[in-house]
Amino acid sequence: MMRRMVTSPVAALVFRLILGVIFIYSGIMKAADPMGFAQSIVNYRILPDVMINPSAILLPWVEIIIGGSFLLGILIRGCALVSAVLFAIFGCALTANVVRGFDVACGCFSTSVEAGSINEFYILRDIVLLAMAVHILFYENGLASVRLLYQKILNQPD
Amino acid sequence: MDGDSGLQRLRKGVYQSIILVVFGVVIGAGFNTLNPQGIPWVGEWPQEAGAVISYDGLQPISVEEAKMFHEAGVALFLDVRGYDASQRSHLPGARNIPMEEAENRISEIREMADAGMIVITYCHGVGCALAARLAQVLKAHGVPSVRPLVSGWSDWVNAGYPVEGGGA
Repeated sequence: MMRRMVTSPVAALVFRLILGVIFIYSGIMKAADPMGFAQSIVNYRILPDVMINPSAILLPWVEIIIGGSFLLGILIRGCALVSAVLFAIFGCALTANVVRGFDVACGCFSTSVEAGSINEFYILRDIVLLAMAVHILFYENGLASVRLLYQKILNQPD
Repeated sequence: MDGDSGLQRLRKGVYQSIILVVFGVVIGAGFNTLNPQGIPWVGEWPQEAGAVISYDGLQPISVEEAKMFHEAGVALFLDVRGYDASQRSHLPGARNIPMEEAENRISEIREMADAGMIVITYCHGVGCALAARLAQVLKAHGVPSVRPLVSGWSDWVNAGYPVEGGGA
């Protein structure tokens, strides 16, 4: 019973929708202000200079694409894997700065420094999101996805 | 498909990831080209990762102290952040002095300093190097009483002190 709850495809669907909304929102906020997002990345002091602008240009769009695919249910496992990797990288960056005691604006959902600086709560949140992504990767079964809908239409007898 | 083992799922995930990332990269690059607010692929980031900030010969100032000077009406804040960030919001009465403009605006700053203002430079937050760098430049040009705000904009805002401008 417990195991069935943990591995439930319904849970995977709920997580998928949550991550989808989060990625679309955070992607749009960052895509709208590439310069601000680049500054956020600089503040983390993790990436070398040459990688800062390319990341600021491309990352928001990868997020938007993943968010959209999550919501529609297209290439779900790919979305889950990319988001797990992103959360893992981001978790390391957060931890490095919290441990170093640097005061960095999160840059998660807003490129504004008023958004407040990072702390342990952000790391915890990141781990929860990472867990959701991993869960989706291993337990989603295409529930409420465009892929299944497509298959259903194809298999319908006329 | 439901019978996929963990390894199969992972493998499928890797293939799909490549498609998604390529898609994101193409759209991102395209959007950046068309977007009037697009940014260059290689940016000039003076505060390179791990930059050592030199406060040599400077007297750094804390946000509390800076606020006292501000309340006493003798603080002249110089915002070394980029134009956009500064436009959005800045410390009260701050003037935006990006590094590249520093040399041209020294006389203007010196005038204020000579009139008894404490010149306080600031950038984004702890670890941003520009406030100290601008302070060094001003000091080298003989501007008296220049002090870099160590923890910068973010700590000022976190302390709930007043700012000017539109906000987020």
